[in-house]
Amino acid sequence: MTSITKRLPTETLHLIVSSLDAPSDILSLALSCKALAEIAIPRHLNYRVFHIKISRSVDIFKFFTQAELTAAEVRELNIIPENIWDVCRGNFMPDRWMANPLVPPKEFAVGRQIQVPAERTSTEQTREYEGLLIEALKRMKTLKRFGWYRFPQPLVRDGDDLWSILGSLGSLELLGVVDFPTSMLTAVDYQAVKELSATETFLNLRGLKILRIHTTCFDREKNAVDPTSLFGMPIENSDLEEIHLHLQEFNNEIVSLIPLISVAHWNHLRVLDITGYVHCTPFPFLAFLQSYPAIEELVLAPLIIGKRWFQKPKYRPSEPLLPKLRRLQCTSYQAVWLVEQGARASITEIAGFDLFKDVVMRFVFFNDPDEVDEADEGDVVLDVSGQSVPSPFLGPFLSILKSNRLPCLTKLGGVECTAATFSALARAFPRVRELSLEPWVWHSADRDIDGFLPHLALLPQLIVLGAIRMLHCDGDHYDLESNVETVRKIAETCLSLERIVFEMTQIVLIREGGRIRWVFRKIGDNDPVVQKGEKVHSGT
Amino acid sequence: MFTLLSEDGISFQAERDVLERSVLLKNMLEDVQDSSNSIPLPNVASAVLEKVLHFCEHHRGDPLPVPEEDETRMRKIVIEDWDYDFISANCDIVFEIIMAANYLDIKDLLDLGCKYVASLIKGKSTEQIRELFHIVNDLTPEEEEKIKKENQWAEAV
Repeated sequence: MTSITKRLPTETLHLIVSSLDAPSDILSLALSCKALAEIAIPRHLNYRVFHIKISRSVDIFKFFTQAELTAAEVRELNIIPENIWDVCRGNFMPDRWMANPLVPPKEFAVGRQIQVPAERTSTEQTREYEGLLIEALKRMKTLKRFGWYRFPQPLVRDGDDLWSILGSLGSLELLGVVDFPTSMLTAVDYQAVKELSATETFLNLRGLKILRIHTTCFDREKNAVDPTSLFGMPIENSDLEEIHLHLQEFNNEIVSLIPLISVAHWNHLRVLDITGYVHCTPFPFLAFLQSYPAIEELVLAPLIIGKRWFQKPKYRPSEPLLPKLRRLQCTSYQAVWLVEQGARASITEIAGFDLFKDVVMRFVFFNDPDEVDEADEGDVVLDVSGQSVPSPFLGPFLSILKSNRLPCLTKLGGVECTAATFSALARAFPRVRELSLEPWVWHSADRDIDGFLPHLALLPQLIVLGAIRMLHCDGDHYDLESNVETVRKIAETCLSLERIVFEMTQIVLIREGGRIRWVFRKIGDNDPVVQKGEKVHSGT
Repeated sequence: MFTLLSEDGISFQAERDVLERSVLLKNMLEDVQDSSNSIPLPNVASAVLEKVLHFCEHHRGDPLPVPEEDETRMRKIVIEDWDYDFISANCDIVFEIIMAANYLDIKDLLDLGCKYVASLIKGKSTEQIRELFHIVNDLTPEEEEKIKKENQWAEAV
């Protein structure tokens, strides 16, 4: 049989590669033979994804203005902050920017991209750069993912502003934005910038499938935090499949979620990710969840449900809640509440919870604005004294894990605990297969791995241990030579353990008979066989 | 009605508006006054020509693609159910259809074929792609490693 490269003309092969959106697919194709590598990489892969700083990308924008066909190859464009290294650890940044902050083709990287600006850009300069960006965007006719992670927001221009151009492309599926109030800005002219809540062309964007907003919901006209305008945008995008909304703290105000969830009708919602300074009372939130049985992932801000967690449910659920829910990121008391409301069958992962014996109620519900009516039956008056009290959440949460009410659960992530509560967790849920602990757990225990070993021994099915900062490291660099003993002890304690995972790297354990060796690999490379030329470490 | 003669000597009849979905045939028909003469298509086998005419018949009356949008049009189209059923076949037949669409200059059929082939690539490993398209790997391990290293960012995206 004849190969595709011999049967189809080069122009047709280019058309096929043009139809591939994902860089990983193009790379897989390029690695199949020389001819396809020469077709797929220079004209397609090199132009699929751009993460750029607006002030250093003038050459790129000008190039695309002149090269319409190449511009139409761009599927993802992220405008990243000028001070990326200052803010990249913020929680609104995709993790991969840490590894690949700039991904344009090499020919651009040797130009302005690597220069460090001598001073901050002026308003006029910024306006000029944005104008060039907009001209380039007009030619990116198949752009699917756009992120504005720079602040300030775009300087809105009359006519062709950035958001109206994005809307006119008709191809955009994912939009990510950072929206901070202009009063937080010092580098540009205050009056030249509008918050997104006051930008009509942004609010009128439609057809999105994924929306990521990191905002304070500050409304300059009202001089107050008011999400009314901004919430209108996701409400009008009824095809949204994923919503990631982070309410950044501003003036210590808490935003209510009810104006959003009581009106929206998202027909295909799979991921609801609401974090930050936002609250919602249990009943409207439950009613909302009952309307969205297709949700697979739920990430909840700590004040969703809030103080009324203590109220006993008046009705037992008749239908399972969220039958497709796989991943849950929330506090332990929210997990208990959801399970009590009927969410259980398909959850495979719970992440982001803490386990402490004692809590300070005033801190748990730090400033929940919900006015609990103390006259209502079942209401509990919270201890606001600031004193530590035994946690009312720990027991019910461990009890759920122990009771097998979550039969598919195998993964616990981002767990905050002490050595003592870790012991309780291990006893309650010995069948965990993947477990990651928050970095500070190791710090607070002074990396006393010996104190954790007896508890790790209670987890016979553990395959993956996430243990950022568990090993001694120099900055972000893990020195394996000085951690040999620690790795050996863990490997010998957890007999089924295959990997110890850090931020972007991992240790892969290789067990041969009674002998344990290990290699240092990037995440995803899990082959338990030593590769040619690979440095192998051993505890013996 | 006009008659087309395939590479292997089989005749097919079709009406003008069906044939005019092909830019090549549209230009040829402008020169043909007498419809009794058959039009030879020496590069298209009968089995493929039958499929091509079936596609043109189904889409007769649809707006023709705009030439100025040639380069970006294809990337935007979504495969409709009928088209998906039509094009779903083994790779050899799809390649034949693509080559016929390219030769006859039937843009929407060429787009459909390319889009379908791309859909076969999605999510597959390099090994699976080689097997699917009968590709012999002529990259040296060093070349493969170099490509992987230079494009490491793309692996997880």
